[in-house]
Amino acid sequence: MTIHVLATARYTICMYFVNARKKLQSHTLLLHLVPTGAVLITMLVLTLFSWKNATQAYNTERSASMHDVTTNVIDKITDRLDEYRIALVSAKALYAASNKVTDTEWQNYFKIINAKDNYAGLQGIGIAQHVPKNSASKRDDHSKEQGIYTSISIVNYAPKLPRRLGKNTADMRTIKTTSHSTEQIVDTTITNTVQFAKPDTPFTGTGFSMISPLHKADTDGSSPVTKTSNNDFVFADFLSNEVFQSTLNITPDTLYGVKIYDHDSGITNPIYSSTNFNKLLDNHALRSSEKLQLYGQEWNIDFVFSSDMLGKSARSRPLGALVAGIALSVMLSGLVLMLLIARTKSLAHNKQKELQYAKDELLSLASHQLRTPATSVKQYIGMILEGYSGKVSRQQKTLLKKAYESNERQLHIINDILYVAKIDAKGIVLTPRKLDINKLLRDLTQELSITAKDNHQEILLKSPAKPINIEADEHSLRMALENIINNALKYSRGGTKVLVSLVANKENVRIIVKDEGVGIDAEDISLLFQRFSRIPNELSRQSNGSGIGLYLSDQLVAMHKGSIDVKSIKDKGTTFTIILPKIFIAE
Amino acid sequence: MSTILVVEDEQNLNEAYQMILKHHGHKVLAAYDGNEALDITNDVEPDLILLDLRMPQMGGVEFLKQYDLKKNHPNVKVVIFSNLDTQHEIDEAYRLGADKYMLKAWASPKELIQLVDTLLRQKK
Repeated sequence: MTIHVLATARYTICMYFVNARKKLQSHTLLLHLVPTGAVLITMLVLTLFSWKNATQAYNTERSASMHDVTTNVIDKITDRLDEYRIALVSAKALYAASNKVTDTEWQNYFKIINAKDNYAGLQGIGIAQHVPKNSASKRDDHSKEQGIYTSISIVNYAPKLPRRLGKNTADMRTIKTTSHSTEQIVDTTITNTVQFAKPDTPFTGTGFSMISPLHKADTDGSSPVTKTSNNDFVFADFLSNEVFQSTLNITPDTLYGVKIYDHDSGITNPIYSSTNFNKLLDNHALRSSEKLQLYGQEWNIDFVFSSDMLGKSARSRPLGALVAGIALSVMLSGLVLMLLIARTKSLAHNKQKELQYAKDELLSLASHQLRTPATSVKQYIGMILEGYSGKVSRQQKTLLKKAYESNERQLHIINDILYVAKIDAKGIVLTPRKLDINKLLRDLTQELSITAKDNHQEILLKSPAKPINIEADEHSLRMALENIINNALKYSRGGTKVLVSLVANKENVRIIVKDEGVGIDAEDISLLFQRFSRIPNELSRQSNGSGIGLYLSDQLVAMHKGSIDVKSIKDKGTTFTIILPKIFIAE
Repeated sequence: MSTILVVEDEQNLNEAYQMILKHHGHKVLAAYDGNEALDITNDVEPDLILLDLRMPQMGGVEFLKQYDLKKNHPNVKVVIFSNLDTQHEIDEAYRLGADKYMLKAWASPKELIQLVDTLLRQKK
């Protein structure tokens, strides 16, 4: 009756703890995720902000860099063409001095200004003289037709030019600017794109001309210039590619490209396109466009910028920061999660330890209290059985014996519980000594065979003939093995056999306990060695185990640095394999 | 016929031991506490003492300390019996002159008598 009450109470307490632990798990999961999530989100937001900032900074820097380039290019072009203008205007002085400037004089001029080196692209400087209607003036050898007559002196840097072009009388050429537009010219002007071609000019290519009217003011310093003055003008012809190439010095490695064209000829016929322009037009290229108004002409300057303008690494830096930020966020929140879990585990573990300790204390106390009355019962029934109160009839003896045995079982259970509590509190100290495990098994199986016979069960021992020595604590190992063999007997029906075998090798011994009993379901095997767990089957209902025996065995074998393995087939039988090292050092 | 002093606080158990010992012809004195036991040993030297360790007012170890049997009654046999097995208490009892330790729960009347007789024979 006591045992039954005890068992029920024990079961109830255990189930409570098991359920409480389950509840704790789902609750703490939430506790973990919330702060982790908060950390993750915060870090991601910060990362996003940083990335945005970095991207913005990069874009700003890049824009500034691009702006610097465009400004720089425009300045260079402006300055350069100003130099050319000066050269042209200086040439006017020659004409102003005399209507006729010989080629030699021109060549001297070119030499003085070092046209070849300093004025790349300049092909020639010439004069266009306007022969008005009704004018009988004769200029050079030209006929007296109305129109514009030009003569051009070539800058002598193309030595293969035919000698005859060295003369002042160059080929007639029509300037693409109409007479109407030349009337408009008041100051130095740059013409639209010109395609220089033979026989118009001795040089060919794309370019433009710079025109500067020869004002009457230039000659006699008197009349002001008006739009309808029909002045003569000087002009300089340029092959634009050379002009801009020498001005900008763009190489194939330059990180920006430039294309220059006017409104008239359009982008398909630019006066200049840097050699690297098309190459730079990839996915990441940035483009911009500027307009340059210079000497009456408006040029479109298209820029293309390499994506690596600020350096190869700079471009990927914001993205790198984003990736790094995300990685860091994940890592940090992962770390936070891990720390939280570890802390919870540690707290739970401590809690569990406390609970365990409290449980053990309770058990110890209860068990000690229970031992005393049980001991009394043992004495009194013992006395009757030993005839202290007179002769005992056979029937009385049978009944009394059953009472005595039940009480003995109770005492055993109490003993087991106290032992378990002691182990949990690490109160057991093993005293390992040299032990003949073969002899131990022989004694044990002999002893247990006596009780096994009552149930028509047999224990067979298969072991080598010689002693097999191991280092072990005899008392606890005996207890561990006894529990396992008793278990085998208990969970087998009458008439079955339990086979105990001992196998030894150099390092360890193997004790195999095989029964032909009811077997254990695969899912129940994990419960086997837990305290207070009893797997329900018809035989367990008959016997009154405490659910502690196997737990005890497991703990004691573990203290010997050994292990227990279980294999079972339902309704066929179970095999326990205990492996013990021959030598061990107890903790 | 020997005189045996039973020191045990649990009344039923104490009486059981008295019955068992008397049944086998021993003279039995009973005490339910260490103090009572001291009172008795002041007057009488028993042949053997069955001494419980855990008693409310004065326990077995304390009794032995005060009894000082090595000095007073060096011939007395002392059996510690207890339902507790705290090693250090047992060691202490041995150190103070106990001869044997026995777990109450394991001894049937027959076994108790065997133990007592063995010790008394040693005495002679």
